[in-house]
Amino acid sequence: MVKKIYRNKNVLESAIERYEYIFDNFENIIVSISGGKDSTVLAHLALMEAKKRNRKIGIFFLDEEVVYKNTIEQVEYVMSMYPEVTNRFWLQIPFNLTNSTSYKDSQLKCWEQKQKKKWMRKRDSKNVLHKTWSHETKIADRKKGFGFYDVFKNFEMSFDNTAFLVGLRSDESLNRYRTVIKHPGYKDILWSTKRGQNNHSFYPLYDWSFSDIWKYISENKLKYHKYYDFCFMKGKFLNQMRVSSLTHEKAFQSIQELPEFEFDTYQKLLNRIEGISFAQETAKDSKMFQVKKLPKNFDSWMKYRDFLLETFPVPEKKYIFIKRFKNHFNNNYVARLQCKQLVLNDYENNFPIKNIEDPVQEKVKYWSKIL
Amino acid sequence: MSANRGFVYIGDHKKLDIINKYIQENDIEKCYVFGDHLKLQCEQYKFSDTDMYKYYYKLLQEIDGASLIIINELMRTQNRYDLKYNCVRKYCLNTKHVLVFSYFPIRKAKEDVMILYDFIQDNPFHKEAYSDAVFNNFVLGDCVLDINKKDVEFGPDVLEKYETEKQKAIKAVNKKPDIIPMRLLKFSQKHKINFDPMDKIKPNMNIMVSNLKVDQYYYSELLNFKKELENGKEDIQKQKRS
Repeated sequence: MVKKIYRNKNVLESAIERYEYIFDNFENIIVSISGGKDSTVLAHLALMEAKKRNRKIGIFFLDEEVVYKNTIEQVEYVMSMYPEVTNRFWLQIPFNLTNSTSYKDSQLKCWEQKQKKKWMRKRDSKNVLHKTWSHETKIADRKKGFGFYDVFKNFEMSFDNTAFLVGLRSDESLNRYRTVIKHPGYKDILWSTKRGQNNHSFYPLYDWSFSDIWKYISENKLKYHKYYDFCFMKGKFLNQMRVSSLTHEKAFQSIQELPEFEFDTYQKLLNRIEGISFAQETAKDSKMFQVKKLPKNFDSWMKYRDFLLETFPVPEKKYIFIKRFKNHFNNNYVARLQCKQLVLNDYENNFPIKNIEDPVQEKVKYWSKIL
Repeated sequence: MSANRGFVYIGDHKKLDIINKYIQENDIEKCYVFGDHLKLQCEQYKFSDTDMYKYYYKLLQEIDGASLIIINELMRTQNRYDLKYNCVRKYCLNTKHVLVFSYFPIRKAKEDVMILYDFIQDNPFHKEAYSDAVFNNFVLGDCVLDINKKDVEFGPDVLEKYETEKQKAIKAVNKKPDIIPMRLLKFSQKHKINFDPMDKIKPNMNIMVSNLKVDQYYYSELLNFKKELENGKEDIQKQKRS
């Protein structure tokens, strides 16, 4: 079992040392931010170090267009904190984003010129409005088009010998913990991963806890996203406090409470893409987007899956699902997960299906034998 | 080994007397109870509320060195890494005064006691192994589980009905297959009433075990629990001395 080892040093002191190390070893440094609490702290610490050394660093934000107004305000706050040492990489370029709320508009094409009148807000001439790379644009999957991760990939490829700072913390999830400790990326540094062209990602806040982040924000009187205050007022649990995207399959539930939190954003979103009103009403419905309860017209998840597959309205996406499901077990457990993918239009397989024998039936067999 | 910050009381104790004495002897200014309700004039939080955001920061701000935290019968899962336990553990770190009460120190296995053990340790992240634990601050009271078993035998008509009930229970499974033994136990209890009224689960149990498989299953579970309980108590005694 992996053990945590505690040292006589607090996480802030350690983080500052990590920043010093990165600044000593890299000429180019780019900090990725999202508008959330972690990346606000990540950027603030980097900017302090940059100011101390009178060096410029890049602050990178990929603008998905359909985001909270508060996210934009928070990003603007971070970008304007120390403009003298900030290279502004606020990208407002067209790319595709999954829209789980509608089959018709299954992809939102952010900042698409054709839809200019419907944009959530105007683009800002201070920001980057065209691709930053000169190489031929790389696209991982032509069928899906130029997507969210492709922008990151191509943006990264336009740099070399660069440190990309990411606000990943290992106490958020085991996956994140594994990402951090798996292999050293740069020299013997475990809190880093190797990227192409001698670029490296660094996670200087990897050992910070939830409370460490808030303590830093409070002590340095930093502004933070108002969504956290909203969560506080709603009495939400600690693990539910996340500032996320509004439409992709893992985060579209944010739409459910959007009218309450930012009514203006909700109104604009209604005009911008299909399916928002329906998602707002049913995002937390156990029979609809949650796919937890079987609709009463069906007596098994297998039958529900067959129905969804048969009536799936987008042929090219339907083909992806048929191909994927072909080698799966045919039981209720797997079929429910397949239904979830179909309902959420998860052709990208972001909710992977655990292809196993139905655990419920396995347990029934066990009880049947011993009782 | 981490340092201790309070006491864990296992078994039967006069909780209110212990608490009041502790308050007087340690200049306690405020008390907080987590878990089952106690007849005390102080803030009390149910197990389900312990990780709520609206309480979490409030409690972290309020609880200080002059506060007493009382954790009352909070053994709800076997998961030592449960978020709710970690939140309570975090509250405990704000004071050196923690009293933990739990009649049984286990839920199923003797290692479960480490959940109680963690509450009085200084390091919020380090989870010591059961084999390394030193139970010096544990106070063992009466914690017995006497089982008075009475064997009863059902005739072939009941056994036949049992089979039918089993098939019905299997058919009725939707998401939770564990309803099968529970439903069959209910069936068994219904028929055992003809022999003698049953006593509910409590430290001194009078139980009837029939020739139905479900009874045998639950009886073996009960024996396992008793065995684990005895082993756990023995380990606590042993580790106290060393």
